[in-house]
Formats: sequence, structure tokens, C-alpha cells
Amino acid sequence: MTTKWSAAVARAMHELEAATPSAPPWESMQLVPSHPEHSRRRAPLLVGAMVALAASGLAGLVVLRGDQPERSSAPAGATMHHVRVTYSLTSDLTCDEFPSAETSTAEIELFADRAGRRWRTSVTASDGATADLILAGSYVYPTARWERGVAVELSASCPMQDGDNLLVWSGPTSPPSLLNVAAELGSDEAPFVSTHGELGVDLGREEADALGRPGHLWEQRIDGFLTWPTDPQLPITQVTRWWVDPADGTTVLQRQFTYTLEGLGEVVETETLVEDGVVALDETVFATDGFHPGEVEPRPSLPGPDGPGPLETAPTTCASDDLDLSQEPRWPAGTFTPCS
Amino acid sequence: MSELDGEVYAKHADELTRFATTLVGPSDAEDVMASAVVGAMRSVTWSEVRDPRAYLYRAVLNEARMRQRAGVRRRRREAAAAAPDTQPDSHLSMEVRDAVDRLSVRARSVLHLAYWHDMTVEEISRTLGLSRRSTERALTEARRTLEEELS
Repeated sequence: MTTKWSAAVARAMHELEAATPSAPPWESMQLVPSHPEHSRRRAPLLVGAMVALAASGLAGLVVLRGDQPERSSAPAGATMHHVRVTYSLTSDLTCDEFPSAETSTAEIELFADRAGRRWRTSVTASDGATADLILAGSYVYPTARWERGVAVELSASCPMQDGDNLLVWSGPTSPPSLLNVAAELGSDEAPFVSTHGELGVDLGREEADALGRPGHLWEQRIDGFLTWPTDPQLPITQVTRWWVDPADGTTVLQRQFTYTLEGLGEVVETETLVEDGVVALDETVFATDGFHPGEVEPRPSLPGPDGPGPLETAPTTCASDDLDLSQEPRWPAGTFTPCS
Repeated sequence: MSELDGEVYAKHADELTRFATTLVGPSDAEDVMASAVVGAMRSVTWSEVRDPRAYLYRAVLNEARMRQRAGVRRRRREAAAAAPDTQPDSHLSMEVRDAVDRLSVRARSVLHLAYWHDMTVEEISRTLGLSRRSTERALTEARRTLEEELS
């Protein structure tokens, strides 16, 4: 790259270079555990998974073997669900330096082996970048996770005069939040999921979604603040709108998040269900060759049916560092899981 | 891990440690590099990797991103309980450290490859598995932030 670097960049890079420690000798590498935290967690998690599977009559379907992925011996005629969703992130922002108006799109595919408790998501951005994720045990609290590619991150941001780049929103998350996540949950998880019925209000009318299908509209409006280190809190309003299939009253055909930032503009995220069908179970979909193991978090204990309010629908979805988590609007207050 | 792995390590260890230093700073660099390399070489697919160097760069990047998330969580807990560790890394001025802290891990990784390895946007995209657009954005972000902070 024939680039002329500024003195500032050169200074930073050379100071970092000078501070670089020596590489550890090869002999010491043999003693490094692969992922110490994972190893500590794995045993109780796998025992827990086996107990859960045994309790649900599914023991024997899954063989857990050290670092190896779960292998399912699916019976003949077994099926899996195939869901396809289009995702778009549109921003129309009045930034300090120049207006930022653009649309980024991605396609999200979900293959769900609900009986075998395995899921695969594939996110393909419009520029061809792809990211695959295989989850086992649970969609929201997986006991094992394998990743391939680099998470597709579409973002809406604003270059500011002070040199900062104000990240307004980024998505889709990994794993992607699902339009109809309840279908992927185990019986002990499903009761704690909030749906449009709990979160929104019925607008009492129908409107066509992006594919022209009639959808019964539900809406939730939340006011909050976007925080930025150098600025006071920026008021943000999030309106979530669900297009629900009038035929069954439960299937979400489309979900849209509209974030309006005072004095800055608007960012719109739209997820549209394109396909939701049942296909023959294909073991190759869940093959983890070429994937690398990812980090999983232990599942917290779920509140009892009479306990505190509903659990967020996607606890593994994290809020951006740039958001004030106590008021971040996407999930109900108090239930956010920060990215970091 | 085999003798051949040892040769691959010997060939790339220094540059991967430099890369890790750019991503997470000197104090965590060795640990991140070692965990990433060991994780990569012990994975079932390592023997099928066609470009070990690029694979190891990605492994270090992934490890750094995971550490960054865990690190911020840890720093928040520590900040709530006690004064943060203020001991500076040797050779690294507070000004540069603060400026680099403002960059995303992705921006640091892209800048490192562009600056030290003279890679083109296409080469960086291929090495790190990023889209061309993301790479360009990250590079712009890195340059602009450092210039604003350090000029």
C-alpha cells in the first residue's frame, strides 16, 4: 500500500512496536491450556446438558466427547426448520462532517434441529461477507458454540467534529435475534420470553409488510438516552413495530426498530421473514469442520413463574458499549446484557 | 502439537506478538498470542489450514476481541471496587495508549497490517476475513482518530 502515514500514526505504531514483549518460547506453548475458562466450565455444563436431555427423553441422541462437536444420530425422516430473514439497516443522519444516508442489507438463515437442540445461523452481508454460527443445547444459552467467518456487523454511525465516530447502531447481533424466538426455546425457557403481546400495544389495524403481506400491527415506544463520552446524553426514541400474521395472531412476519435521535436523525432496522419451512434434516448443516469453538456463558437461573418480570427474549444479544445500558431501549429495562 | 507446528510458530511468533500488542497492549499481548496460537493449533481443522499465517492472524484477532469484552467487564468491576491500575506500560506514553484505546480492535488490526506489512485493503480483507468496506472504514477510523488525538 503506497500510503503516506502521518506523524501521529507513525508515532503510535512505533511506540507500540517498542513496547512489544518477546514472544514466549515454543516449549512453553505446549503447557498453555487451550481455553482455561472453557475447560473449567465445560464439565458442569455438559453434565447439566445430559441431565436435561435425559429428563426430556432425548438422552442418547447426543454424544458429548471432550472438545468434539455434538453428533446427532437423527432417525430417518427427521426434519429441521429452515427460516430465512432479510435484514436492512437504513440511516439518515445529519452528522457534523457530512450527512450519512445509506442502507446496508444482509440475509439471515436459520436451520433449527429443535429435537436435537442444534441451530445454525448464517449471515450474509450484501458485500458477500459471511458469518456462520452453530449453537447446541439452547439458542439463548448455548452449552457449545462454533463460529466461522467474522461476525457481519452493519453499522450506522456519524463522524463528529471532535474526531469521534458516533456509533448509532450496529447489527445484526451474533447470534441474530429471531423474529419468532419462542419456537426455538425449551419448555423451561419459553415461559419467560416476552413477545409482542407483552411488550407492545395492539394498534388495531393491518398494514402490508415489505413483501406486501398483510400484518396486524403491534407497537412499543421507549424513550431513552444514547451516551457518548464527550457529550451529554443524547435523547433517543425507539419505536418497535411488529407485523403479525393475522391468520394465527402469533407469527411475526416483520419487525422494525426505528431509532430517532434528537437533532441527528433516524436509523431504521427492518427484519422481514421471507421463508419459514420444514425440510429434511441435513447433518452436513451442523458439521463443525472449519469452525472454531466460541465462548459460551453459563446459563443463569431462571426466575420462577411467580418471580420477577419476564426474561429478555435474547439474553445473548448484547447492547453496544456506546449505549447507556440502564436506559438502552431495545430490551426491557434491567435485562440488558452488555457486550463487554 | 507437532514439530512442524513448532516451525510455523518460530516463523510467525514475533510478528503475531507485535500484532497482539497493537490489539491489546503490551501487558496482555503474550497471553493473547499464546492462547490464540495454541487454540488454533489444537483445533481439529488446523491440519487442513492452507494459509497458517492468515489463520493465526485471525485467531489472534478473535482472541483479542474476546479478551477485550472480558477485559472491559473486569475493568468495570475493578473500577467499582478500587482505583484502577495506573502503572504505565514501558515505552508506551499515556497519550498514545489513550489514543489507541479509542480505536476498535478491528481498526487496530487493520492499521497494523497496513502500516507494518504494507498490505493493500484487499490483502487485509483476505487475511482478516473482513469485507473490503469494513476494512476501508476501519482504516479511515484508525487514521483519523490517531491524527486527531496525537497531532
